[in-house]
Formats: sequence, structure tokens, C-alpha cells
Amino acid sequence: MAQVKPSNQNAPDVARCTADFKGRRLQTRMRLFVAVIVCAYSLFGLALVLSTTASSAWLQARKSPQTDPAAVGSTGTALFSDIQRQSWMWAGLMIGIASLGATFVYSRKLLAPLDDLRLKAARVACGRLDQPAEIREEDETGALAELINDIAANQQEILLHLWNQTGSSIQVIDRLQASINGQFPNDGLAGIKADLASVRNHMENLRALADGVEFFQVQLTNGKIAATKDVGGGARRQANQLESVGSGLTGRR
Amino acid sequence: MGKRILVVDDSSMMRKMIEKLLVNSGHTIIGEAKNGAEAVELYKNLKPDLVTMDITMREMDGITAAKEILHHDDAAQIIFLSNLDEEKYGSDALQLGAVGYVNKRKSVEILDLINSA
Repeated sequence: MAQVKPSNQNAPDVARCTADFKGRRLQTRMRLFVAVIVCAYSLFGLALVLSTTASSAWLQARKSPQTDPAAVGSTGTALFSDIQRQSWMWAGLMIGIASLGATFVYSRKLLAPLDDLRLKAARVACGRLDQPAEIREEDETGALAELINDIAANQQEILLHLWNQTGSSIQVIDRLQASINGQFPNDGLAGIKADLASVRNHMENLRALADGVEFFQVQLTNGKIAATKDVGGGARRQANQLESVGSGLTGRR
Repeated sequence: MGKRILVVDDSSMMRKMIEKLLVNSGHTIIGEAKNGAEAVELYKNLKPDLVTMDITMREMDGITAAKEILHHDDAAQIIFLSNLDEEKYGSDALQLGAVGYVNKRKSVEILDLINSA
């Protein structure tokens, strides 16, 4: 028979639960880093091609029909073209390194909000519904944060509803069992007694689903759903100063 | 005649459930908000006949939002729908000037309260 445990003994182990998701973050970063390297080398290669083409074109432009091809190899012209070529190569190398650095810095900036959302989603998956995702930007990441918060809120509603209804059902079953045991002690109606015990067990198992969850501003205490903080600021303090007149479903000031 | 109602709850699933309950009973949903801040803004723009207000919400909770709405319009009709224990929190809500406080799951009581408000 499943035991219904109080919530403080079943707090979700978020660190262990989210550890599974860390590996995926590294994979994404590695993929992005490789993409950056490939991109940078592509740019470098392109710069090299351009530099070679540019220097060749320059050489072609400098050649005149009257000039003896052999004389092109004169020291001044050849030396100048080599310097030009080297300059282009260095320029290409610097462009490649600069693009690598810029892409790395920008990728970190791009990944940071996604990383934060990943962590928030992992917490929701691990039963931590009490930490909403921050909606910093009005873009795709902001929309994603809103959706994560909505999923957490919906999950909270379902679990609290489950906890509430199963609690009520268990009370009904207990009353039925007491009534039957009173009227039919010993082995009377054994089959019905066994069925009731079975249903009660199912209810307790369902109710236990809510025990390992950290809810948003709500906790399960002594069989009741209570607020975890002073919701509304002064409302609690104001209420405590006044004598309770009992809860009512109607009644306006 | 049906009332024009603003539904406030941070859970989209809960908003749909409440809307379905109210629409099937002949009321009109003129807006929905997922936190107290949106609720206050929508109230000022839409002027609903009645507001159903959750209490525990992100950004701004229902109690704070109700205070702001009642400060803006002391004739506002607000019904708190919450998971919190009625015995403990019901009187707090009424002290603020709300019409009533009902557990979210009690659909019959919700409708009775709305119809009598």
C-alpha cells in the first residue's frame, strides 16, 4: 500500500533532476562553436581567394604589351606584388580571427536567455512550479517564457484539483467503511469492505502525486491548501486584527 | 440577463473552464487576464459587470489587483475563485469589499454567487 508522505519529505531533488539537461547544453554549445570555426575559416579562405585574385588582377593590369615578360621579374615590380599579396593574406587572416571572436561573443549573448529558459523548463519538469520564468523581452524568448509559466500554472491547477478531490473522496470512503463496519462487524460484507479499501488505496496513490511538488505561493499543510506568503500585502495583517465572522459565500460590505 | 464578465486566472486551462461554465449559463466573457496587472488594465478599459479573480498569480496577485480595482471603482463586483482554504481566507476577501469567495471547483456555488450578485 502506497504511503502518503508529507510534502517536506518529498521535496523534488532539482539538482539531480536538472543534471540530465546539462549535457544537452554542452552539445548545443559545441555545435555552435564548430559552426563558428567553420564560418571563420570559410571567411578566411574567401579572403585568401580574394587576395590572390586581386593581386593577380593587379599584376595583369600592370603588364603592358611592350614589356618583355622576362623583364616583369624585375626586382621592383615582383617585390611590390609580393608585399601586396602578403598584405591581403594578413588582412584575410585578421578578418577571420575578428569574425571568430565576434561570433563567439554574440553567440554567448544569444544563448544566455535560452539557457535561462532551459533551466526554468527543467525546474518545471522536476516539480518546481514555484519559480516562474522571467519575461524580459517581447520576442520569441519572452513568448517561450510565458508558455513555460502557463504550463506550470496549468500543472499546478491539475495537481491541486486532484489533491482536493481525492481528499474529499477518501473522507467519503472512510465514512462508508465506518458505517459498514458498524453494521456488519467481523466478516460481514467482506467483499465490499475489500473493494472500499482498494478504492481508498487508489485515492491515496493519486493524492500522493501532489506531494512531491513545490507549488507557486501555495503549500499543502494539515490537509488544507494554504498560501506560502503574505498574498496581497496587508490583507492578512488587516484580517488578523478583526474578529473572524466566519467564511461565507455571499455577503457584501 | 447574462452579465459581462472579466475572467482573471494565471492558468489558461482554468480560464477556459470558467469561461465554459459561465457561457453555458448565459453570461458573456468580455475579457481574460493572466495576472493582476492585466486585470486592472482590462477593468479600466472594459468596465465589466463582474470580475472573477484568482488569488495566487505571477506579477501581481489577486488581492492586490482587487484593491486597485476597488480603489478605481468602489462599486466593482469581484468574486474570488481560489484553491486556498475557504475557512481561512474567505473572510479576508470579504473584508476587502469583494462580493464573495468560492473554491474554484464548486461550479454550482460559483454560478449561484454570480447570479445573485
